[in-house]
Amino acid sequence: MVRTLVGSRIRERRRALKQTQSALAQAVGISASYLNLIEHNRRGIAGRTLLALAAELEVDISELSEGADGVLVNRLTEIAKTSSEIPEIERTEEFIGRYPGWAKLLASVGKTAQSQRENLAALTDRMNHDPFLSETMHQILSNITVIRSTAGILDTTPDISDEHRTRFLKNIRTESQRLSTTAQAMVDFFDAPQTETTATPHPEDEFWVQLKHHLPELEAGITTIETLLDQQPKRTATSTSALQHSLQYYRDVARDLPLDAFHRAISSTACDPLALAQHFNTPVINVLHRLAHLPASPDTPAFGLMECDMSGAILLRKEIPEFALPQYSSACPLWPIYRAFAAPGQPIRAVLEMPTGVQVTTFSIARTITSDRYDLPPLLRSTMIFTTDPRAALPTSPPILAGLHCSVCPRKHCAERRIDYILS
Amino acid sequence: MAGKILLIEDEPHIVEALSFLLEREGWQVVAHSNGADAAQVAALRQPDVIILDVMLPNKSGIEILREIRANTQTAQKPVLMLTAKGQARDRAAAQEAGVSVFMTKPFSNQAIIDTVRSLAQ
Repeated sequence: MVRTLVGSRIRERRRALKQTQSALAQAVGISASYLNLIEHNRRGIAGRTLLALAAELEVDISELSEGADGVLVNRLTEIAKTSSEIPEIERTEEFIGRYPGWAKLLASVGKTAQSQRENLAALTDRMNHDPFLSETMHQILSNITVIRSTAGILDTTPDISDEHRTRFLKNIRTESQRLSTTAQAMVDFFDAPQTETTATPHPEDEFWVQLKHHLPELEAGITTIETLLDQQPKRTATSTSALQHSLQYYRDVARDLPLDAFHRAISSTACDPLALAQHFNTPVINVLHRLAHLPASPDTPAFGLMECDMSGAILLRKEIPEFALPQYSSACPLWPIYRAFAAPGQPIRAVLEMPTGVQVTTFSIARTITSDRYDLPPLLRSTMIFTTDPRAALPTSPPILAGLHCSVCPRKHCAERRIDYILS
Repeated sequence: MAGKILLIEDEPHIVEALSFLLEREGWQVVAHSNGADAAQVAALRQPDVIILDVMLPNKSGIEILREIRANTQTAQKPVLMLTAKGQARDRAAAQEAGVSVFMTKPFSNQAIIDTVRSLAQ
């Protein structure tokens, strides 16, 4: 039993009855000094003494002994362990008992600090992987290169011709203006309020990100779908239904494609999804999902995943470090995930070459979600998995020169361009 | 004359500055801005040193470098790669493709001159 609140409750109740410590101690047959230790949570209490105190204080014993706040003890202990100077953890219960208000406040502040640390980590991650920031930094460095190099020439070439001087000064002015425009774009980017399209992920997407796309406990039967759903806050009926289907699908695929057998088959099929589907006699979409949901291992290529509906809205995304995905819509129309809608059920394999030169091997397929509706086309969902791992490279496939999306793509003459490159 | 340099770069102001700088040192500079046929141009022009930007329209510098190394006419040519991306994975990709020297923007004029000179020796 956590003794924290027992002593404090005894004291509160005694004071409420306007009884002195010595009177209560005498009534239950203990010394006043011992009662003082109990009331200050410095001595545990149980058995006959507790029964006697409860009777004397005219309360049920459970009112004194139950509901001790173990959660608060654990929370404060966790906070204490994150500190560089660890306080007296062994006296946490005493602290809660003596200063319950301060203890709750400290727990609340600790929770806020933890939340802010997580936000900071997410922002740092964004700084490292956001394609807009990456492109902006590239542009800024190019502007600075011209300015630095040209200014250096003007500074160290006293006999430069008037024609060259005029041209170089003009170049510095042009690049300075571009630099200022690019810097302003970056400031605007950070100042822009978060809109629904960038701030509100699809619940299924958010859920899988949180669970890191692999559920070993569900696969082993240690946890259930219901337990996992219960752990998700802010659920609506729609999101619950989507998550439930998603988890059931994951569990079914994991059952049909057991991890060990799947790993062995990956080696023997050179990670070819179609060959894996034939090996396990299962639809290729199941193989794509299994590949994307494998635990990280040096023995198998790491695959990212993207799923979208017929409007192009991204429903599920798993990034890999070498290949960023747009937040929730507007990816490059050259990506085969969109082409897959033209021929549902037909697997497509393609290599994308990004403006950075990174080559990405992709496998895509669109599948029918529901077709039992009169006079309406079937609802489709398209899936693409991707990797930069050479073990999954395609034998003969000229790359598609693609981008992330138009606003951050420097391919100026692309026929698919629908909006300007933001840094042009 | 010091020799011939093929400068594969799509930023015209960088081309102007580097051309001026290297021509003053006695180099003949041939500039080319399109990634699609850059490797063929290298084979045709037979430069002493190739300066290659990583990000180019139509084809990445890494891919061009692979083509240069795959062609017996250019396989041994020294290649200086320029990039505004100094990230470890870009550097690793360039090294894997056979780069001679990898330099990140912004660079100093003297560093470019010294590097080109040492590559040509």
